[in-house]
Amino acid sequence: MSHGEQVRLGGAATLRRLAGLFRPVRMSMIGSFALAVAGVLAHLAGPRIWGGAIDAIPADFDHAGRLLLTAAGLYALGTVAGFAQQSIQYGAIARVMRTLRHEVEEKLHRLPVRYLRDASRGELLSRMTNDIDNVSTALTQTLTGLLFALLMIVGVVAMMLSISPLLTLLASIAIPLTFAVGTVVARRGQRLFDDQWRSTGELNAHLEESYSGHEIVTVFDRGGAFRETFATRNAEVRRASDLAQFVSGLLAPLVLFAGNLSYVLLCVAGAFSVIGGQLTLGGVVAFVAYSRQYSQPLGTLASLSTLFQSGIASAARVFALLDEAEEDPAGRDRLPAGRPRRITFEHVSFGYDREPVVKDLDLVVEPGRTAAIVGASGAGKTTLVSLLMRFHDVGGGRILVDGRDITSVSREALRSEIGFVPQEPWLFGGTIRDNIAYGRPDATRAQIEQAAAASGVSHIVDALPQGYDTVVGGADGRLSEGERQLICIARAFIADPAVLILDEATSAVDARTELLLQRATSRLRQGRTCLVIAHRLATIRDADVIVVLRDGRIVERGTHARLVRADGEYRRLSRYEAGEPGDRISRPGRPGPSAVRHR
Amino acid sequence: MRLVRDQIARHRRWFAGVIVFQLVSVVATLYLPTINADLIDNGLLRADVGHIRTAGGWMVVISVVQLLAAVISSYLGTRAATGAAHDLRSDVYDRIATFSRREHQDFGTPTLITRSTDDVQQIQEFLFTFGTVAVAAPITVLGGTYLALRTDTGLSCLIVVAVVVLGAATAMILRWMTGVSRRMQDRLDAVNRIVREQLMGLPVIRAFTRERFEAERFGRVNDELAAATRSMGRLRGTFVPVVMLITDLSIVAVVWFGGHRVASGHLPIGGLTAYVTYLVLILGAAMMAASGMMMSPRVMVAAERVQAVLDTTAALRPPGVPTGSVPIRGEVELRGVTLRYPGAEADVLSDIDLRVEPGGTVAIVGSMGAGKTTLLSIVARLLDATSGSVRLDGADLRTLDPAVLRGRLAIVPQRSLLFRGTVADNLRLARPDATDSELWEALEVAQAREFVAAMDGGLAAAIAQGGANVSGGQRQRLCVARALVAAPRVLLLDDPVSALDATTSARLLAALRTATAGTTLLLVSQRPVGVRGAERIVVLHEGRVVGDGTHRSLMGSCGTYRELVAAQDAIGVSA
Repeated sequence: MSHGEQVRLGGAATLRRLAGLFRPVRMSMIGSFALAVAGVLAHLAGPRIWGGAIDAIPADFDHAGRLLLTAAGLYALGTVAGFAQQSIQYGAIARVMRTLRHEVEEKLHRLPVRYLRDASRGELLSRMTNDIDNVSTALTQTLTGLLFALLMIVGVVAMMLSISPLLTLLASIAIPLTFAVGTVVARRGQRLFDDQWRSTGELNAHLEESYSGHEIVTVFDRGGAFRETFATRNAEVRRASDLAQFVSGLLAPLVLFAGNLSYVLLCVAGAFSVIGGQLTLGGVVAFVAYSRQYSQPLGTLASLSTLFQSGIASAARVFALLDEAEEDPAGRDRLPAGRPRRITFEHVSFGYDREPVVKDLDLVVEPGRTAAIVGASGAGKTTLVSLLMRFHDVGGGRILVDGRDITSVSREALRSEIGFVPQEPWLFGGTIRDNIAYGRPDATRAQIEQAAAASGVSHIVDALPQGYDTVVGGADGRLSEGERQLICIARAFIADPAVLILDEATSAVDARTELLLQRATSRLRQGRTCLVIAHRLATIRDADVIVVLRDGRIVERGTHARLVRADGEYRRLSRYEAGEPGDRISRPGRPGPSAVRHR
Repeated sequence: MRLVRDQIARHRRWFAGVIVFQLVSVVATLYLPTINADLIDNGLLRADVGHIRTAGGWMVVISVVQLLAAVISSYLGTRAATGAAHDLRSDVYDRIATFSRREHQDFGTPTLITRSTDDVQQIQEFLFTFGTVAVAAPITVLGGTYLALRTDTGLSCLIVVAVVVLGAATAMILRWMTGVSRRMQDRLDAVNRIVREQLMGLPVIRAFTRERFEAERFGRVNDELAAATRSMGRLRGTFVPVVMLITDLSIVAVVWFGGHRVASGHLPIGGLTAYVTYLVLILGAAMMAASGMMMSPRVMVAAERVQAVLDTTAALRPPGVPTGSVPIRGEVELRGVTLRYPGAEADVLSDIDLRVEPGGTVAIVGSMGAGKTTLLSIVARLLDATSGSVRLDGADLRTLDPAVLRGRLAIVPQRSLLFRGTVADNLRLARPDATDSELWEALEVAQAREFVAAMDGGLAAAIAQGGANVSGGQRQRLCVARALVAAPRVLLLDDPVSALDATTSARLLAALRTATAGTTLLLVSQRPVGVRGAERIVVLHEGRVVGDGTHRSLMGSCGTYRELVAAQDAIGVSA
């Protein structure tokens, strides 16, 4: 919500900015505009000409024939112009939308990680997909339609004036009437459609819960209660869409009625004009044909404006995203050559909001050594390593790599030194081979296979019918969580970084897969300076230094042996984990059959 | 399209009303040019002012009638369409409510939601259009043609030709569009998929500085989408000009040939003008029908997707007449339970015999894919065994009234899931009449009392959808508390402390064991170390029970168990 409401541009500003997007394709747009004018003119000249033909009949068939041929020719020309115009315009819109999508995608890579932490992922995703789609749909459907409708109205009025100013005045009574009715209906419809989408959103949220929580609902037998909520929401959607549909459905009959009225008016008034000799019969028929042609574009104008407004609203949201503050680009230097690296945290403090997450933290990891970070969830472990990767910049103190402050180094140079194995194994939609090569785009086949072998991925690959070409990633659940983690390790392997950051997975992996993972990571750690976030103490017993974090501070540090001797927080943590006596799952003192079974 | 037909049949009264009023509206619209012709031939050409006035008056009356009929029919059409959509959503919801885990997995939650709302919405819009346009168009074409025939039979082959040409052109463009629109939808999906992926994997992309690679990957599908959009635009751009050309040329032809008919005295000049109007109306209606048909490929797909849900029969069904006795003791027994998914080559569980006495505790261990979670699901009757039976106090689960079963059994699922509402709402899901103090007791056992008390509002604190506003560990503890509130006879726990740190999980398990004395417990664990002290451990391997005993006896007798323990011990010392 907070981001949705935040920087919303006004309608006019959004429109101007949207128009700005069309600058690169302005020649196409001008050309298509000219063609539209030509097309409309040709189309409009038609009735005037065949109206003349009606007057010529039956006296002069040759003249009538020539006129009709001219009309046919003009129509053909108009069609060609119309086709060319639409082609060019759609092409231009497609190009503009491609650029906008591209800009948004690039923006994603320049947004601070903090923004992504605050903004709801679903909301952001919806802006990057649904809103852009909506802008695209609105533009393609309305731009051509609006242009055509406007030109038609102008042209029709001009043609009618040229036949009879008096009748035009009469017909014009219907113009503001139709337009007013159209606008009222469209505006009211817009609000009702908002209502409809809101109630649909409510229904959606409820469905999401009942479907994804289906088993819980079943086990606790709450299907009835959920069904009731559903029925209420469902009825609400029906009510809202009843209104919205009906009101917007009024538009067409009303426009038609206005058209009919002016038709009647014109027929009667036209008849008197003919009797009075001011007009010919052909003129009246042509006039009536024109008047029929302008009530329709008026209706179009009204109905398209709803769609256009919804497109503008989406565009405002997309622009607001593009306007978000970007990562501070500070830092130009490169790190001096050398590996492994020494990492130093000096009085580092950091907080996402006012509440500090890391407080005055000092830590040195000597070259080639491994530091393990342990502590309860929320202690600041993941935050600490994201500071080293400069996902966020420190609030106080500094972080040094080989004595150089990392804020003076460009992010790209810094990150190219670091290998990262994330807590949640992320793979992109591509083959296993491509996913391993992600760590080093110029990797050879042999290097990929080497990394796979070193990380144990080769075992998985051998069991797959398509081997390295198996497509993974996305929502594809073919690989287990543990297997995906192994591929993430291979990806870090092939990058061959001087510094390794390993955020251990918390998800449940069976003991055997865990052993495989453990072997792979210890191989990966060799010869690199490592920071390991451990969720299970057993995996980091051999770390050179273990730091215990609590509420963003280091409360203990030392080797496993020392910390166990020290009998502090670490000792307590490891005792629980080992499941020592006193912490077992048996229920003493329970009566009945279980006691019998104990024997 | 069976679905759409059924809905029309179900709401046939509304649709019948729509047809009647559309008929009135169309007849009125068609009648206007007829009166106009009369106005020209009998009023204008004879300079009869009175006749012109009368005819004009009639035209106004008919216009009003037309407006009223159109508004009423639009109202009826709306009611019919939204009513059908409402009923469809209900049907889909009720059908999905009968689904077991298998059907849910086959479809997937996101598509089930899309099918319940977006797809139904598509059908609703189609029905509305159908009710108005699709009814009006054929009537207009038929009525217009009839009137045209009455005016002048000879000229009418022109109308036939025009309609046929228009129909053929529309069909052709439509055929091309279906293919292109499918391609466009695919590309759009691809673009959105990559954006989603990038959002999820942002830290990795940044850490490996692969921004440029991602931009290129995105650029490729983006270009393809732009190309597909262009082809789509070109086709759409063809449609309107072509339809207009056909209409305009037809008018020219009518004027030319009609002119000859006027000259030869077969047709009054007023008839000719009426004829032109008929033609415009007929072709306009045909064009409306055509643009309505542009909707049909999408609607067809939507209807098929909704139909697929409605056609799916859940494998799991409650008994017609529940016969089993009401269980109260909590003895769980599995007799020869085997589960194999249709089409699979291997059993997920095979021939499992297991008896847990009332109040007994069994820890179930085994590596990934051993069938632990499946076993719990069968006991909770979220799945049915392919053969064999599960008995509660001797009664086959399949003969029990689901409500009776549900009241006696609770589960802590592997994936912690909470619902939108308050903490109390979530806990009371298990038992609506639980008191506040009972809730606090359950929270205490689940090691959740402290953080719930610290939350703004305590028990009344808001929980976001899916529990997104609390951490994974907190979510898991609330799920444990929820199951405890149910005060079940049988409690199934699927790795209930996987997201907790060692201290908290030990405290939780210790508190749990005192609080649930007398309850039958089935506790699944990924790690044997967590349940080393359990009074009874069952070892699953590839869907079979390969060990059953205490830690000590299993270390002696069960190879798989020794391997599991060894694998766990090896961790941390292998480097």
